[in-house]
Amino acid sequence: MKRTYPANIDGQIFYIDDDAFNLLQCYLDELKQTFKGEEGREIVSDIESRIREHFNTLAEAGVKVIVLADVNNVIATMGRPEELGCATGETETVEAPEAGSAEASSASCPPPAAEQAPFISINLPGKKHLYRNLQNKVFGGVFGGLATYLGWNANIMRILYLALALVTYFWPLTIIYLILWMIIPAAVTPRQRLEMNGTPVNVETVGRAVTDTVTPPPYMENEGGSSFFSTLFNVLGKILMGIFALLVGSLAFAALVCGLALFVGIIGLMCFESTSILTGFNLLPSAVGWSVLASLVLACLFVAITGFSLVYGASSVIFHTKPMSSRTILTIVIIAAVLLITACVCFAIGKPMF
Amino acid sequence: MGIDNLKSQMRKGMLEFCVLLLLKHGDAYASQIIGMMKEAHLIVVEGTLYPLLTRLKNDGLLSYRWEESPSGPPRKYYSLTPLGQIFLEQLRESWDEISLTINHLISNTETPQQ
Repeated sequence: MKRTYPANIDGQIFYIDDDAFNLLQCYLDELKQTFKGEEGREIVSDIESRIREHFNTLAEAGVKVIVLADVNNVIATMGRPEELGCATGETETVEAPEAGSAEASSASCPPPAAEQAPFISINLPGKKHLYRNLQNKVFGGVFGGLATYLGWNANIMRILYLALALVTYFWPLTIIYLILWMIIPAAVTPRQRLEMNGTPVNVETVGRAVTDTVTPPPYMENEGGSSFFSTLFNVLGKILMGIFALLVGSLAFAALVCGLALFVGIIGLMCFESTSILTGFNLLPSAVGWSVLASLVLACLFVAITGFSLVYGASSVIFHTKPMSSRTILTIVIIAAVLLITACVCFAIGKPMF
Repeated sequence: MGIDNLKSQMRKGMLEFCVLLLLKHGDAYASQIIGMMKEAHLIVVEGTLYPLLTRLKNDGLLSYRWEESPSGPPRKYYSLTPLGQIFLEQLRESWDEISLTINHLISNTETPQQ
């Protein structure tokens, strides 16, 4: 089963599946890189229009969904961008290195590709992007991604991390890990996986990445012999994840309830001016000042919001529900930070009143 | 430089000439031109034609108009401009010269061997 998108190609709607869509988009992007400027835009739109004609022929023959093979056929018919780039003639100087890189990439030997690197402006081979590696993960693929990025062994990094975590009483490194998990994006699309591995993104490599997702990824074999550790880490990871999620979930739930109760309580007390309890806790506005009370309220809100997001996060881990988007997480972090800072400022202002 | 490379260079040099010749017989849209060129084994991949057409158009040798098509969106019909016709005539002359020279060379080198 595959996801299928309706794609508008030169004014006509085609149903095209996920992989085919990625490849076609990459092809068109690459054409745009090859043909630049006003003239280039016209060329690419003409080519797109021709691709529509090809797809239309397929559709008339009864093809319902355009698949990877169809896109590959069309690319073979239309020609790869580096073949077409040579035909423009004006880019005579660019032609030589491009042809060289095409040879290098088709032979798929890294050293010549690296030599060609300075000539190619579009995508530098060997330049890696940091992503979380979801094909080599225990929790969130942070170490898998870092290992791919730095060219180290992920399992060695994990062992080192565990050792460090034990020495530093677990929490600081856990928090660092969680922060990394949040800020490093996951490599989801074939294009991101290529960027993660530092492979130049072009039609050929995207095509290969798309078809390779089904077969086991190559780096698993690279780490040969450590598959025992991989399984060990995976099992350990699952268990730890469960315990951690339960722990954080229950703690966070308690925080959420307490924070909300305190917040509502204090607000209620202030609204109804039932001063007896406030006096009991020595929290009367006249005694401690409004700003300290305000800081208390804000602190309670902070606890509640943090608690809520942690409950949400933990439940999404335990029950495999949809996790929060990174934008939501960022908003919550900012709100929480603002609340905390305001609370501190209020408290600092009110403190001399003690 | 391999033999294939040389061949494709020769063919590439002729492409503009061929497109202009094809359009001399009547206006055509890109897919028709592609069909004719493929039939004549002039191009291997279709994408080659588009940069070429755009360049000829920007040089003022070709012009195009949009025309409705029975199926799908309107098509670009290319036609020769007066400048294009003059250009074609000149190309034609130089082609005659080249082919004369080459044929002369071929017959000259072949006769002693026979």
